[in-house]
Amino acid sequence: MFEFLVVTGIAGGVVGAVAGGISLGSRYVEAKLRYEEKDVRLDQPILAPQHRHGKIREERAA
Amino acid sequence: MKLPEIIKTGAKGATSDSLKEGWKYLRRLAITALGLYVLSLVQTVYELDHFPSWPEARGLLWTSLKSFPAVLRDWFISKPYDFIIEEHPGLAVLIICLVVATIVLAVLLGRANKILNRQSEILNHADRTYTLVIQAGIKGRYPHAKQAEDGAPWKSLCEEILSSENKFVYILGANGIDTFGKPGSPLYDALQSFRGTIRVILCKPGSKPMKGRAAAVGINPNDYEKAIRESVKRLRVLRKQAHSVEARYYEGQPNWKLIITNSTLWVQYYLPGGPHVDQTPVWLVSVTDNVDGFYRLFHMEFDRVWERCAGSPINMNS
Repeated sequence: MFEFLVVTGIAGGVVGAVAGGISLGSRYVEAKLRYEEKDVRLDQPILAPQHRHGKIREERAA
Repeated sequence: MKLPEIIKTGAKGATSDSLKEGWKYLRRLAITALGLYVLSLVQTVYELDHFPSWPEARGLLWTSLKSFPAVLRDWFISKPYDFIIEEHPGLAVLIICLVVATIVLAVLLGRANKILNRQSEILNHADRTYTLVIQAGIKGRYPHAKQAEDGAPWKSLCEEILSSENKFVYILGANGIDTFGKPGSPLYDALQSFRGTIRVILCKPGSKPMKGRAAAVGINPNDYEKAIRESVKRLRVLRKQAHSVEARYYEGQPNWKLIITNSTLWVQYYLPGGPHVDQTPVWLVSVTDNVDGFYRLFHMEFDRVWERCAGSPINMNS
């Protein structure tokens, strides 16, 4: 009985560790690789990518 | 069918058939080897020195079934307990940690792979959109053309008009008053300082489309006509100052508002029924190397309208 309890406890611990690791790791992976598709606001100027950096520099200089 | 193709098809078919047959033999060989291995395993486990007969095999199976719970307990409880607790506790902990880490990492790798595949699709989509933007020459879109913070960049347009590389300014408008006709209008000072060719097309005063446009933006037709004459007056002043100015009237319904320089195109649309063009979005387009870019197409559109209005020049000398 003692042997059974010890082995079951270890097996439970292993399963718990796997489940916990997957759960926490998944959150980490999701957070690291998260990409939010934002809606572009049409009531604001939209600049093509190749002109954005130049524009930002101009605005800062101004 | 030609002879080489017949030979090619025949060779393909023969290769495929021979591969199939070869695979069949290999499979049979593997199954036979596996059967022999299982038989030798059974003989070892039950300590047999001969091939078991059917009644003997049934007896062995029954004995095994009866002792199955004990085997189960032995393999899943006693042996692991002995290994982990009694014999090799350190090694067991290490193995458990490695197994847990491997499983967790494998699952996370799978999830990360899934997310990255999704993002790869998004990037692919963005790449195509970017190519379209580059080919069209689109530089930006502004929600309106008022001289406000989030409005179209009149200041940079003026700078571009006055840059040394720029040789012309073409304007296709309705009455021109809010573009260059009155002091304080965005291009008023820029045209004053500009020394290249200026071409302007405006709505013909008193024409039916002009009255329609005036009604659409809620302006009295007389006031609208006055605005056109005011803009023309401004052009005449420029002409008197030795500027190279040409202007024409057109009688059609105003549709595109265009301001074209050497390198940039400013496009707006006169929406039927209003509002004032200042409240409509502005598209800025750069000149592109490809001939189907919007800059070249709208430049051709301006030339087409200009030629169409050849019969309605605005007198610059009166």
